[in-house]
Amino acid sequence: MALTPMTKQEFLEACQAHALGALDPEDRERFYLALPHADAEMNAALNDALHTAELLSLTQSAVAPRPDVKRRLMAQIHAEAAGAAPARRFSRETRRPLLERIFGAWMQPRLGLAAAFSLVVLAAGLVAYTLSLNDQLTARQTALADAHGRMEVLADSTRARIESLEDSLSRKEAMLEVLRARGMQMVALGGMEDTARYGKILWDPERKVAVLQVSLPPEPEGMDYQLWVIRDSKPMAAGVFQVSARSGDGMYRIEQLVETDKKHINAFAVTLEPAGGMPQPTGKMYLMGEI
Amino acid sequence: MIYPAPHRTFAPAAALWLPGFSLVSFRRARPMTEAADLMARIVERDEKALDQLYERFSGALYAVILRIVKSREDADEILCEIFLQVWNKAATYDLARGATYTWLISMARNRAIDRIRSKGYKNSKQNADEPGELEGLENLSSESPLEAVLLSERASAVREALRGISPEQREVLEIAYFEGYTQSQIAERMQMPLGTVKTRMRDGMKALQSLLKGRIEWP
Repeated sequence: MALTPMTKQEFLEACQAHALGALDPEDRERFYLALPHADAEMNAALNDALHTAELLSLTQSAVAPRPDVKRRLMAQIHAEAAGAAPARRFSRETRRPLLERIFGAWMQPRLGLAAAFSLVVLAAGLVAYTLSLNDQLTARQTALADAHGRMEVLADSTRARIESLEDSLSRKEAMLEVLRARGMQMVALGGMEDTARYGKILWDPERKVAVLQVSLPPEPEGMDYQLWVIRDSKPMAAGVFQVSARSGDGMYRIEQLVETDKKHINAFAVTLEPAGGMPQPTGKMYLMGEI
Repeated sequence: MIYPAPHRTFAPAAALWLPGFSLVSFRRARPMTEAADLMARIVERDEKALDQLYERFSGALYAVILRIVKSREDADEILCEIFLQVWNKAATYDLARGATYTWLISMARNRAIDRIRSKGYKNSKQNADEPGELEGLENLSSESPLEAVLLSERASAVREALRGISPEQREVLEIAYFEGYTQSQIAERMQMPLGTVKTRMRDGMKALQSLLKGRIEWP
């Protein structure tokens, strides 16, 4: 529905509210519709009301703005005069978030482009450096693995050497034990074909300790030397041994003689047999010795 | 550029010897002519004139803005916007109207009320009210002692006149002027009939006008 202009009486009564900016929207529109047709009395009433309202501002004691307000005002004016960007809302603008204030300049096209190029160069350098470091790391890992392998071999060798020495020591201690025994028995073994070959068995029946010492050539691949006890004219297997596996002293501890009664033993013999030994002698006899 | 000589350089001494001179006429003529002169120079992009206009009116404008927005931060921003507008729009200002202060105070009040009606302002005040923000404000003393006296006399007269009307009328006027409420909003806020608000507003303004006429210059 179209609004109608205020009547003169309504206008005169609304002047004060209009001067205070307190007219409701509909009244304000009707007031403006009447304004172009206002007569002298209406205009005078309006001017009086406007001036009275203006004087209300004087009820506030003047307050000095902060000095930076004027500084910022002048700065914006100078910026506009220099053809810079349009005036900014200084107060809100100066309270931009911290990250935006720090990196705000980066958002400018030229600086942004330069920054992007620098970042690309920096990234390429970092990639090259990383690849170089990776190569160095790989080489060092390989060297470390080699060293570790050598150390393991050395450890194995050392461990084997220690075991050998311990075994040798054990056998020599056994031989010394036999030698110190009052009832020590020794059986000399002579070569059957090669007289340069020899051997001996040191045996303490009371303490049940026996040691074999031989001088024989290394056994062929897949073959072992086997010791036999000739008991009541029957050979009995007394253990196998390998000359090549020893360190060179040619001494062996004979476990099978421990429980054997010497009264029933006639002789000892050494033959070459398939690896692991045989129940009965099948190979060539190298040494033989009778009690 | 040649500017008209400011009246203040000779008006006080010369006018005292002129027949028909009165303090009222001097009080009215001096600030208006000077403000109009400053506005004319601002149109010519004279920064010094803007500086002088700022020095003259910023304190009064700032006080009204502060009263409305109750925040120094918002008041700073609005004051700056007003003088930027003066600088950029001075050419559109009708110098014949004379009352520069009326133009400025109207801009200041309208912008301040727009600010408190904005959604952002309401949210910020809901989130963090700042009761102590307006403490420690520095009252402005004008550069010119004579001007200070004149302003002070006018302000005293207005305050006295405001005390001369009823408290109910005064409350309605202050809510409308400093808080930007319409008549319907005031009625709702004060829980009274709309007609009562209209009557109090009209009668209060007329009473104030009657008390001030004859005490201070009137257009």
